[in-house]
Amino acid sequence: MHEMGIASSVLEAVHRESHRYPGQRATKVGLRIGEYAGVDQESLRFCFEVLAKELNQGTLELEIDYRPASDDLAISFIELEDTEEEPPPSRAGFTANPGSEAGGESSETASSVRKAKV
Amino acid sequence: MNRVTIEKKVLSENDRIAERLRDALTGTGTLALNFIGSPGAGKTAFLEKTLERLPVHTRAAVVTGDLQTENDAVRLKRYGFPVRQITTVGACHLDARMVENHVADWLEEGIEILFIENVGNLVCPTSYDLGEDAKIVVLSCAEGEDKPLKYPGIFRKSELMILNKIDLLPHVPFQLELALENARSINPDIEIIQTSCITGAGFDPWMKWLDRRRAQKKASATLAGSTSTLAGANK
Repeated sequence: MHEMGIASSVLEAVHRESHRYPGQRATKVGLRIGEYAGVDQESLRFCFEVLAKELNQGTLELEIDYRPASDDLAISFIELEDTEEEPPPSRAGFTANPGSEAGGESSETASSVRKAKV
Repeated sequence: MNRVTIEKKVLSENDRIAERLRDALTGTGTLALNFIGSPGAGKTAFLEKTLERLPVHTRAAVVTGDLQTENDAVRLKRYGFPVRQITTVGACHLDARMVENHVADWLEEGIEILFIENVGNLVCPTSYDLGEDAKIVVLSCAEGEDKPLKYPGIFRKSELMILNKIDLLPHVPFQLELALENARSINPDIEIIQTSCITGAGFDPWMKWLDRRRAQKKASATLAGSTSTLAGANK
């Protein structure tokens, strides 16, 4: 079930990228998944939805571009829209999942991810 | 709406660490092999038999990954080589950071061969580069001959397939030729060695394969050393 780690990495990338665009929020992220990447799409969608809700990004949509005969696993784009709200304070919490790529902040997501993995 | 193109590998952080580890392994001339297979394919038994046959002066070491327990490390330690267990506590694969954290001091001591036994799983470990020289997929005759078709990723990425437990062939409905054909249909270049850890069959060709790869790694490390020395002299 490394899909949880992959979902976490994708959300972290979205988080980082969207912070470069103040006053906008991410609405969709595009992911290319190759046939040989070893990723189950349905499982990834499930993990993504669970984690996105945890991070108050429940409206973020995941668009998967499946590529036969490829081992690609890459984020291709994110879509952003204007928001009138103040950008939320940076929320920590993308690491700690043993399969995650993310860098090292905190705990709340980590523990929820661990629970989800069990 | 604003669409921003990113083109970022999802596992780029793992890949970065794996590349750093690969550089370190090349610097020390260490051959690193990543064994991947289903639970029960015989990865640990295969490594036990390998360690048993390695000359005692060989500077080899093993890291072995499991979700829980140190059972595999206990088994492997009996052969006198350094062994470390990585207990992933739920993660279904090893990643580059886990391996790097467990082998740093070994690399300083200068090991020749690093055996990495991944968590038993044919899917998830496929995605993670561990800085290895080769992935080796272990398939057993107690599994279906269609495994290469069901899990093409790992068969495609592996340089070598160990077809293990061939002593069971008379007793199980495993179509050997079809299994080989399936593996080659996914990866025409894959090398295949048939082994039995019970009878020892296939271990001569395996040890020759290992010797050949060790020699290649040493040669490439020497070349890399000469190149960096030359580059240093030219500065």
